[in-house]
Amino acid sequence: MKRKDGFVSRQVGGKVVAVPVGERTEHFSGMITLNGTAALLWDELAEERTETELVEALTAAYDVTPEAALADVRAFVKKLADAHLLEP
Amino acid sequence: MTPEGEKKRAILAEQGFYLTTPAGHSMEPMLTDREDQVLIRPLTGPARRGDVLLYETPAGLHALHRVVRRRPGGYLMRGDSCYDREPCLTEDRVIGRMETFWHGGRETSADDPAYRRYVRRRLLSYPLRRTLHALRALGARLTGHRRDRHDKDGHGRT
Repeated sequence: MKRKDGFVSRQVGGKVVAVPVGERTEHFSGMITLNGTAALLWDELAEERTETELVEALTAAYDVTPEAALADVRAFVKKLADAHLLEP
Repeated sequence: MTPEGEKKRAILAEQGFYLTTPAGHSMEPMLTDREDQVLIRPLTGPARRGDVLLYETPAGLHALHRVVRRRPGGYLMRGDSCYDREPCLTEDRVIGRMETFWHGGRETSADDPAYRRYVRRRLLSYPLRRTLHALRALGARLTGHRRDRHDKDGHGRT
């Protein structure tokens, strides 16, 4: 899976916020506020990644069990899918 | 205020900020159309001359232009690359004030001294730029060419 391109992320205070740029602004308005794990997954998904690769990225960066990481990955991916932000 | 304006105000109230990529050419060269970002914060007091405000026009369009002058109960606004007169902006139409912007990926605070010097130069050079613009427009009319790439009202999407 991979997220749609055409976004930039900016640090705002302690948060990472992604907004559309270029032609993407025609199809998506608003901003995406990302916490630490979500920001990591967002960056990872700029390229094609499997669920396993995302779990590995989370467990490598955070002191978290694979089971908890998998739950985080699935929840985040569902949010992206619901917002139509994943490539088909 | 339109539902879109109320939505932006709600985001500002809830998150304390609103980050967006403005569309349009009215704030060039500072902001490039659909490429640069602005961070908007709620306006907590009167805006200063040179501040950039996000606001809603009486027609319901959203604009991100600069305060040229304070007026009783409002502001005289103008885009950095605009030459037309705007109706006075009343304070109730202000959504927020630009605190930071990213141009070409580089972050700049609206309080940065170098940026404030840029703003002063931009405001002071307006009469000269307007004259040059008028001369160019006259030349284009005389030669039958038209180079105006801006919307009539200079408003884009924010």
